[in-house]
Amino acid sequence: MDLSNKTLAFLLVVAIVISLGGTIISLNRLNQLGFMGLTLYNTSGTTNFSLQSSVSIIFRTTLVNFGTGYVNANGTGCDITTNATTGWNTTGNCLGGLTNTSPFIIENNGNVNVSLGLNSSANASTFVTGSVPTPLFQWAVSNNETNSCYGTLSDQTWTNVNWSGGPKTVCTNLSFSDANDTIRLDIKVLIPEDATQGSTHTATIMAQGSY
Amino acid sequence: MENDISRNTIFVLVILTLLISILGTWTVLSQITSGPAPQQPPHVASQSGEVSFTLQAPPQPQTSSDKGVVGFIIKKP
Repeated sequence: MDLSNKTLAFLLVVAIVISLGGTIISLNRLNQLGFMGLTLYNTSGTTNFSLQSSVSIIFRTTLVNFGTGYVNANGTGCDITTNATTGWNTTGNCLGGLTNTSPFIIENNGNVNVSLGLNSSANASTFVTGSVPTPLFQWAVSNNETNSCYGTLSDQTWTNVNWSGGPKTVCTNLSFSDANDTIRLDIKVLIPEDATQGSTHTATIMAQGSY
Repeated sequence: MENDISRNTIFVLVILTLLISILGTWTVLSQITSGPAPQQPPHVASQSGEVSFTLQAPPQPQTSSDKGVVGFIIKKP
């Protein structure tokens, strides 16, 4: 079969048009799917990128351990805390190795401001136990770095840890800026003299960030 | 001209070019259409910390004893 040069030229042009058309359609589809580095009609050479939001909340300190000891029995219990400025062992009944310690530091490690919520696996009666005197399990929230929370900061005074629902919002807008992204969570416990002895008492605090 | 490639060979090559171009474009479009959507990062993150103390029984009072002897002798007058 002999073909004229015109026919061959026409087929080549068709091939070029289909190839170019397919390429342009592909690039347009990629552009619509977020591959922003591809620009078809801009000759300025601009490179674009899209940064996705990432939520990350971490405990810089994962364990608040008040130690091992016993309670002197005179009816007022043993008060221990992570906040030395408010005093600890004011009753003088914390004996042995029961001692104050450092608070939790919670950091917004992501790249977006978040609402911070707290929850606990136990309340005073299930965590501390005992009844003479009535046990306490409380927390207090404050800025660890200036203006880390520039929304509403709640529970700034000792508040009973007794939250049966979902996480309780304690900061409505926690910054992600490295210099201002940490919250201090102090813990206070009053141990009755009749609290369960011979065992380790443990409660888990969960911090949740969302936006 | 006798050693030159024949027109028929050129025609076959052109047809191959068309097929490759069409198939290539179709493959790219199929991959884009059926590929997974870009994964969105989670909008919620959480972590936990632990509060603990260990309570011992108060130590029992310890006692210690010993004995001494007090004696005297009464002599006859």
